[in-house]
Amino acid sequence: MKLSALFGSAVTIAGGTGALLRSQPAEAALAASAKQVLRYPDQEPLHFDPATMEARPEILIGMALFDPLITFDNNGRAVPVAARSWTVSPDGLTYTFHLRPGMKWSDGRPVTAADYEYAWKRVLDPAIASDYASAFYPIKGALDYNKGKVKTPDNVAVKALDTLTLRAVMAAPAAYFPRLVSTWNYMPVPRWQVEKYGKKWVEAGNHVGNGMFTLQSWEHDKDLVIVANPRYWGPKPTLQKVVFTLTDDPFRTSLPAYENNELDVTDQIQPADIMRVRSDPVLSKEIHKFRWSGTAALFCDTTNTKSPLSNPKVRQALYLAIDHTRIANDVLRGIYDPATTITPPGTIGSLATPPLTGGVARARQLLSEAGYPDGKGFPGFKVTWPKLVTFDLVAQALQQMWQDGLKITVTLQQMEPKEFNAAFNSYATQPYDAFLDRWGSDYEDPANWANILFDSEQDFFHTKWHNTQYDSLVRAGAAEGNAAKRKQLYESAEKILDTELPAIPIFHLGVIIAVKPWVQGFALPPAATAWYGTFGRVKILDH
Amino acid sequence: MGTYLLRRLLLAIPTMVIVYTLAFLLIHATPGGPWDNAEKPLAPQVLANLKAKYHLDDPLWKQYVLYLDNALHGSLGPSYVNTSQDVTEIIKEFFPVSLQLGAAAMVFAIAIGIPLGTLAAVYRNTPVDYTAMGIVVLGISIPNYVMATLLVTVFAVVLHWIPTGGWRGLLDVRVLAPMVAIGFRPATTLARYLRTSLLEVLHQDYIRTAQAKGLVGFRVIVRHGLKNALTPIATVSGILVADVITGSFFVETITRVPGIGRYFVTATTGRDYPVLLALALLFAIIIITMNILVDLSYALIDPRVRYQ
Repeated sequence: MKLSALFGSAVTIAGGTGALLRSQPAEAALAASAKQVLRYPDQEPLHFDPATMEARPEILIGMALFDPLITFDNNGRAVPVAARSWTVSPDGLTYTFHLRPGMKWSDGRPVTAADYEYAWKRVLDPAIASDYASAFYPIKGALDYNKGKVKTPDNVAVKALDTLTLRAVMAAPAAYFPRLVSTWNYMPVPRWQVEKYGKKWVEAGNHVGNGMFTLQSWEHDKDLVIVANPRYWGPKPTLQKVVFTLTDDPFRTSLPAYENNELDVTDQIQPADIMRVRSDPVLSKEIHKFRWSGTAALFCDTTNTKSPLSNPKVRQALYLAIDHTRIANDVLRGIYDPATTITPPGTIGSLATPPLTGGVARARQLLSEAGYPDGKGFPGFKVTWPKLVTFDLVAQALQQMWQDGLKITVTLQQMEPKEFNAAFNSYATQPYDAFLDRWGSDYEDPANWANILFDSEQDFFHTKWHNTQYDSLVRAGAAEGNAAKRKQLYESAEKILDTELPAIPIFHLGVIIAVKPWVQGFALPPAATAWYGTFGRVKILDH
Repeated sequence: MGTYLLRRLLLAIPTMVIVYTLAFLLIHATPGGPWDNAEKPLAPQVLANLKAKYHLDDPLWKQYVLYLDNALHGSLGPSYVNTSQDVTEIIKEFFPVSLQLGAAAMVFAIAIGIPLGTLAAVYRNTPVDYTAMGIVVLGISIPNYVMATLLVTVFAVVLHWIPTGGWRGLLDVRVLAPMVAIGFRPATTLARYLRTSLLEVLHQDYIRTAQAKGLVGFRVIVRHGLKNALTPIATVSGILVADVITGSFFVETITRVPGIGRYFVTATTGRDYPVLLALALLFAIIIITMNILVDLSYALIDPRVRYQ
């Protein structure tokens, strides 16, 4: 996803690079059960319907309320959740999931494979109009049903063979399918509640889930409480309750509330606060930096012949003239990390060292080879971006770096977010020069990067870049079942991407938050789908 | 009086139609639509499904008629953003909070503004007047969100006297920070208008007459001065009330008050057309109501005003 929904407002000006401590008093005792409460900031969630959840406010709570079939650990290994095991047919087309016996919904009904079948087909129902329907397109028959070509979901190849066995057949081999299954849209839905309450089934009192926690109360725009689900099949969490304080702007309001001891964790600490936080004797010991799997880049129209950016040498020159470390550490004050490649660390295909090197000297040479020695005759180009403090600062820094290093002039144009989005959508057909944007992982897999973003048939960012070799590498990678081969395919593809540079990488994303010393085991996940299990790992120490 | 009221109410109808038309046109003319969201790849089919679901693939005139027709039948439509709620529910749930907070802020404004303005007028060109007008200048120059931030920082974060935010009704301590933040500026506006108006009244012959007849001090000012100085105050109050009861996005956000204020902003940034239209209509109704009430109040304040 393009992230603004996840870590909404901007991250910027921080001071120095203060030490980020992760001190936990190891010997402190656990608090009593009644005090196992975490007070957490969030925005008002839209709802907890797996079919249409799409942004952080609901994903972080929703993934505590429902169990997906499987999830992935930090090392990228699949871990069983509601499915006790699963098999893939040798041709890579058929996935069979075996559910754990004896699982119950929070209202006591048994969890069956039919609940998953219903939920998956429901996401594809055109009447539901889910933004994430495309996450189901690898399944045979899914596209036709979602497009309305057929009126019933009968031909969508998902079937509950019996109460505990679910089978899904792919249209073509998709090695990343288990990753998709681990996302929130693939979580089950209690059909009887949906049919009884319509869209109100997501309200407290009507909501039924099969997760570790269950929705206790929800006062819109005020607070929301989830409590440990007594009917949960798995290990019982130590944490008994999470109280979410709902506010329109947790990024700004959570720090004062945290300082006044109304919250145990802050949201992303804001640019205006980070210097003070880092120099505060108490707060400075409570801040933690977490990686967020994502990259901000300058996306270029590679086919616009009126723009110098259609020449790969110009893009390479621009890339090499950027001081990535200075942007991350000085301009963005260490909140983010420098990015010299597109795919972020943690995702297959990410490269430890970029294929292009040589710095500003090489950049000047490339610019000269492109026909603009010393920047002479360079026509200039325009960079647009959606209003965001981070991008405002980065755009100015880039303008300055290119002026100093390459003696070229760049025009900057900041846009109001929706205005930018409309412009962005028009870039699919209209020529443009370049824009700043960012992408964050829904799930940490190259299918969520290389295939969606740069395969010339998908081309999410409208760079119109077309490289036959790249396309065949990433398509082979998506289907490849052998992990080592898959890695090799995506790394070869990434080398092409980072050499041709339809997008010039600038920084990888990150988050800094403060956590009270009595909260043990809390860690922000690197991708949206990894919210699963986050609250189950938290323990409150005596304080 | 009855005919007058009826005439005013009938006149409100064309006003509302104009407001609706302008709001509708402006909303649809603004670049970017509700699903021009670059958050994730919206497949063209998904977009088509969404547009069909909310009738956005109909011609504009049809949408104009459809929404108006539904609105007249009491249905303000679904929210595109808060998909589990209807616009009517959003207004029912959050507007009363802004209304209560606004009423509290207005009471605060009157309780501070009237004495402040009176003191400034009576002790004109003395340190009392200078102090009062100093406060007025502060109130006019400090935006309410700065005030809210200051109050929260000082009284919650530093002194720990109040929580940093939240809402538990009018009788809870949490109401104080947003009430003062929203009410301070109207208080100073009232004080400024009252000072000017009262100074004028205090130079009138009848005041001199009252004083000549031996009446002294605050009795003259309150009974003969203040009452006659209130007409301009009633005029500005109408606008001030309309302003404070529709909620302040910033103050509600900073102090975590679940009011309608934030919807004015989130509906705009989210291009949530039904919510935007409903809020434009709600705001228009409030302004029209306040204007009528202000005009009626003249009759109470000034015996020379008669409505036929």
